[in-house]
Amino acid sequence: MAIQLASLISDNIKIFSLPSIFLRLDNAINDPRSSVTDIGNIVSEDQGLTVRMLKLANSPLYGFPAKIETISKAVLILGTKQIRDLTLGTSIIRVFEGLPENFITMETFWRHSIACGVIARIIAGYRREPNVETFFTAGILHDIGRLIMYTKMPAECRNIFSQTAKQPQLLFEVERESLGFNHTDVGGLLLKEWKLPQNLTEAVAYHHSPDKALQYPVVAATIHIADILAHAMQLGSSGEKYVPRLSEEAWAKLSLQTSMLPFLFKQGLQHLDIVMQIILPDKK
Amino acid sequence: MAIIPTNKVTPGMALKSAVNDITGRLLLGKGVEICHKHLTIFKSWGITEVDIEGEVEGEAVEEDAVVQVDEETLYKAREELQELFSFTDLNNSQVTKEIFRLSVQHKIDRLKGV
Repeated sequence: MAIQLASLISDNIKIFSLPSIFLRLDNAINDPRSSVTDIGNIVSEDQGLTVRMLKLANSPLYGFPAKIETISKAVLILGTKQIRDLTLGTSIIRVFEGLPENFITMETFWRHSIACGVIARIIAGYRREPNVETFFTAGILHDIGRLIMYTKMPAECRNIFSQTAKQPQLLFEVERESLGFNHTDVGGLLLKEWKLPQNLTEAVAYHHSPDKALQYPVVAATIHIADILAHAMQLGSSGEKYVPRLSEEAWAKLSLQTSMLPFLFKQGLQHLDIVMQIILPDKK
Repeated sequence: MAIIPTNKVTPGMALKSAVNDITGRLLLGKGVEICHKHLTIFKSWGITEVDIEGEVEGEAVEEDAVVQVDEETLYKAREELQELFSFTDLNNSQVTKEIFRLSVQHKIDRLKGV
């Protein structure tokens, strides 16, 4: 029986639920009565998250001149929406902890995702985007649909892998040919069910077809380029063996020069090491 | 002149040229002696290499990676990456060509343990 995309998500939405701390943070940020201290207090309840936030805020990614010692100071300096996005980006890995590693190891998967996130964040910083953490989180989430597919439809995924082994093809294209949908549809729908902001949903759903992102084309185009660079640098993998085709329109939309690429390679590697140490300290 | 990668810079070295970020903003002036704080500044502003005064030991100097590697290693790296790029438009896309060139260089750097 063919697997339906909608039921793949609706049947599993309870298993893969968003970290509750993220939902509480989101509510607090949207509540005009809440203060920076309230938001800091919510983060402080999770010790692991507090440590990750402080390490990130004090890392060379930000380069603040003085040490940030408390979460409320970090919230004040980084911004509340940035803290919310960073919470999502750095906590999502826990939601998928302990999944069977039939197709790829979790370390390889997250290395690719985090690489995409840090490269996207550098591009966003260069373009002077107001919230670079949205790009970082979108990168971390971009292939999340694959984790659902690997866990919930292993037989179909095995088939897809053996097909690409016989005849080399891009994985996301074989996914669509065999199933009628691919990991970008699964990821996009999951984020929609999670009621995450549209910019993240579009980035995940359209990172292989950035021209389809109508409301947030820049985020989708950035993740598209960052994903290609992470593949080209062979920084982890979500299962795809080949570098996806580059959309020239997406590249043009970001107004980047090719002379920027060596910088993206070098700084991407530097930042990946720093972020891996903070988010996945055992697996650097 | 010795242009060296920032991860090889140690405190006490002096800058032969000023360091600017990617937009051209001046970060550190010519002649400044590098201290620990400057190393963080380099990372924060995405500075990947700097021009250092005087002679620097051979190992730290960045040379053209492609030249240093023997033909066979270079051939193997290119071949593997050509397969990786099989579904891209390597013939017509200038951006893809540059990404490919950097990927080869990155692969060789990794093989050399840089």
